[in-house]
Amino acid sequence: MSASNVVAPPTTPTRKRPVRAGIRKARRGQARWAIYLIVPSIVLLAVVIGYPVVSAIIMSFQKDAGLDPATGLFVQGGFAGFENYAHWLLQQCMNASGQTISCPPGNLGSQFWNAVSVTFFFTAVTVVVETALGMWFAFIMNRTFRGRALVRAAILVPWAIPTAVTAKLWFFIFSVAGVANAVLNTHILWVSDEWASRFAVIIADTWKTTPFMALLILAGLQVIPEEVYEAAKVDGATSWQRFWQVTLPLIRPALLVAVLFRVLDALRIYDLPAILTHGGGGTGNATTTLSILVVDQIRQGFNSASALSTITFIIIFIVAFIFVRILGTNVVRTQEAQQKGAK
Amino acid sequence: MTSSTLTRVSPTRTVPLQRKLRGWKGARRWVLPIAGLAVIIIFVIPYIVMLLDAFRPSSEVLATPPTFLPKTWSLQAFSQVIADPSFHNWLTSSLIVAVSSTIIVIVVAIPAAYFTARFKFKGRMAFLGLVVVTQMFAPTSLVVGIYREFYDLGLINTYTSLILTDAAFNLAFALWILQGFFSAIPKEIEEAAWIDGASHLGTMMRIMLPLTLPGIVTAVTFTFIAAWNEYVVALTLIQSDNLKPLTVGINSYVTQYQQNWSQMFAASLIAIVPVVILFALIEKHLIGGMTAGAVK
Repeated sequence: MSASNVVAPPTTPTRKRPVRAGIRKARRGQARWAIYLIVPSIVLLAVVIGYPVVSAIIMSFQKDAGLDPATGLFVQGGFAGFENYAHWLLQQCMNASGQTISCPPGNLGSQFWNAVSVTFFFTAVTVVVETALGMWFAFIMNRTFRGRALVRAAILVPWAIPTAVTAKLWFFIFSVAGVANAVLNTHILWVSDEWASRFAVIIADTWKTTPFMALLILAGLQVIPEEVYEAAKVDGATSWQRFWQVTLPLIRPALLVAVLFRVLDALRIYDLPAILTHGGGGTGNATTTLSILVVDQIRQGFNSASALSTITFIIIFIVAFIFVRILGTNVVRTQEAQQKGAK
Repeated sequence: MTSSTLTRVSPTRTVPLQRKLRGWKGARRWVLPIAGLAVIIIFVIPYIVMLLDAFRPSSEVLATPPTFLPKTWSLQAFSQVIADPSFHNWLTSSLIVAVSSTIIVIVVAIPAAYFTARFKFKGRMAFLGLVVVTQMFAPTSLVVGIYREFYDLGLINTYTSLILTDAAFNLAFALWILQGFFSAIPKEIEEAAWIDGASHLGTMMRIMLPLTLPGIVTAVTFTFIAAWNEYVVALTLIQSDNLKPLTVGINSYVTQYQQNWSQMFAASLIAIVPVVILFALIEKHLIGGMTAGAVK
């Protein structure tokens, strides 16, 4: 089992044998109790993440408890089939007499597809911008120059600051008589206009999250040995060619993992639009993302909110699956390779 | 570095190439710091806004036209915030929650990371894969289930619920980082300690943990920052004002009914102090910790 057994040549001096055997015995004895070392982790993950996932799925198939419209009696809900899902996906609501009708405008159900497109729009734009900027920052941080420590600190600090604080700060900057309008000499309604509010969220998110991207890309950059660049230089590659044909292929695995984490994170965006635009913007739903809709729905019915959160993580799973299958992002292997490569 | 290039420039036919090189190398000394400075300015401006406005009296913050520097410098906002009992409660909550969940993460992650690094047990990849999967769920998409669970357990509106949630959602990252560090330590080091008669626990405490210290520092920082910054779970699980953490609490300085921006900014500045200090202390180890996992 242990590598030392395999490597040890058969001609090992006999006096070493007992020691080796002792270690092996110790190791085997240890293996038996050592399994308990991962029990706390499994328990914590099962209680706080596993159970809510399962219970959300179960709840999503339940009816809300309430008055039965036919009998007027209080009923405990019961099995609802795909009713809660239809509420979101097909905008089907129940009217007072228990019939299925299409949801009236203003109902949270009718905001579903809007929330989906807003969420995907934010994800696409922020991830592209943050990846490009993050790569540039990572290159800067990877170079040696005077004042590098200061630049690194300035780049990384926004990421370490609570999103709630960031959002309030940008809310102030984007207020009508605020800094943004003063600097640009405009009178844009940053937090209430439909598109301006979307861009306000994107700008704030870029400012906040680019450092994280830069950090992950930098981790990939630092694994590349200097000799590779020297070899490319000797071969006469221009810096442009070095970027496209040396750097990019070499950081591809790290980059894909960074982008994957970012995409998964962006699909769940909540704090920024919720605080910056009060979850609204525009006509009230220009910046309503799926997570905002979930949290809003909690107050109006658990089961329906559970269905929506199940839909949300199915969407996230599909996106993650596409990454892993089509782009070949291997989170497990990349992280292990990075850790080994840096040795 | 540049001086050697300079001395090598000689009137031969390689001059154009040499001059081109010298040109870039010469410029590089200035271009990079200037680009860096531009980046700093863009990234720091929002903080300057926050800082300057925290020192304005409340009445001046929303004055039009806005001036760059405060007309009157005032510590009023800071003294009001420091004297505010709610602010004390929020600060205490944030500290309790962030410190406790960090401790839980470290205590739970170290044994698990050690085990997965040392033993090639059946289902090891499945376990690690599952840990990565838990990173896909954010509290935001699970907040319904979490709320319901803690409601059933009677833990709504308690620190315990918040601490457990923060710990669980940060466990994956810590486990991964530490796992890398443990597998980088050669088995022989450990075996030598056992042969010398050290106990398992003694080996762990005196040899393994000091060797993985950079990894532990990284894990502690990430967990502390994430827990300190957490918003959605606290917003849903905590209802009474005196249990709210800072991230949720400070929002009440600016509502539809009152707009104490200078207090809000003063409170925010105080809220970022622990994070920035922590961050400045470990910035060097942080990048190393993410890539390395090596015994150096």
